[in-house]
Amino acid sequence: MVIIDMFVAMAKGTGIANFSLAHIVMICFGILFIWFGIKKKFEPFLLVPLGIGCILVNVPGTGLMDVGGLLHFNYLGIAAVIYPPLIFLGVGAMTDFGPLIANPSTIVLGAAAHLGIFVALIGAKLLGFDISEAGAIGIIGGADGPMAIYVATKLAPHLLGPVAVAAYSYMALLPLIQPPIMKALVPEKERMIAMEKMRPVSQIEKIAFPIMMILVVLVLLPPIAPLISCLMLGNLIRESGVMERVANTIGGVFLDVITVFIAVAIGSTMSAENFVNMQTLMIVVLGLIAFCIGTASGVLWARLMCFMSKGKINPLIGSAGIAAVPMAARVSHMVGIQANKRNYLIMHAMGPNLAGVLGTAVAGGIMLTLLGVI
Amino acid sequence: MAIIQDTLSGAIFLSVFDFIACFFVLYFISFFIRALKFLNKEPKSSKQD
Repeated sequence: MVIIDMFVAMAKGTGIANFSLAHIVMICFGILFIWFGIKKKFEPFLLVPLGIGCILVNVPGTGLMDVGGLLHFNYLGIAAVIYPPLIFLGVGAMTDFGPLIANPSTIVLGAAAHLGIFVALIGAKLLGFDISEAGAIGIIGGADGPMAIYVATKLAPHLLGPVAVAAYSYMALLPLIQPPIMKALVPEKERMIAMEKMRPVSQIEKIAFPIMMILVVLVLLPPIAPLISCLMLGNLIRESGVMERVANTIGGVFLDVITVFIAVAIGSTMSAENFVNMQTLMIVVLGLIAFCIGTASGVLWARLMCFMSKGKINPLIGSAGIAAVPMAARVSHMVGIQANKRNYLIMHAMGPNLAGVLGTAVAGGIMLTLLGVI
Repeated sequence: MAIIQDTLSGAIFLSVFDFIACFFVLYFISFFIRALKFLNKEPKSSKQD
């Protein structure tokens, strides 16, 4: 009898006794993320660690997410808003703002492609979320993971998990989400438009840009200071030309490592207990709607610009106005090259793509100000 | 303190205001970006025949 009791006690101490269907469903999601990352190569730096985080947190009894657990310490990186500014530092160090400086007229695409944020915000309010929660859900449509985390932490920290998961998952799945919308809204003839080569941008302009942006954006919108100042600091390190080794490190290895940490932290919020409910489903659906409407509004605004410029702008760059850098620009290029093999849109799309980062920051900053967070 | 009321009309007002403000702020920033190209200007040397 003692031996049987020992076996029963051992079984209760393992995860097997506490497994539920919800845990198994979430582990399957984790495996699906890993499959998309490895097999389909959709942003593996995001999806593989996200999937691992999801699997780890859904094996019952490990205590990894309990206070003092390994994943709990990692989660503090997003809950205390440590990782998002670091991600922006790395993004700034790897990003050439030259396309935006050379063609500033495309900056409005960074605003046009954010219509999804506001449609999702109103949709969330209609579904019964309070206005702060609706704001946090809406910001998913900006397609800017660090900004979504930052705004959600300020407006609705209890929704941080589903908001971050939706933002990062859809960012990784942009190559699936955007092309059908772009092809449906832009006729073949306009997709084939080859844009003129941009003017070269001097180093002095590239050095002055981050300094100017820190001053202008922070004077106008102080709530977003942590993110924009890190983005511009990273960019200044890159463009100064005297810190090449630092720029290469923070824009390369450092950024990759922080991305892995942040993705594991987001995956670790996907526990069956917190995640399998109607509220999460609504957030995920609203996030997808926001991405689709943002893509459509960006493309339609770019079509208007194409018409106004008498065919000098390829409307496909409009979808890059959502902030996912550089994924959205890559998608514009990919769809463009399908229509015209000599069409290299990547640099042209980087302008609105970078404007999208600023657009999400501006939208989030205004939201934080009006909702009384500062 | 929140300026916007927690109602549907508050959400609509916030959305419309934020969207339009986003356009204006980015358009405003574009003027500063355009101004950067003046940093390239080199002083023209006066030519004497």
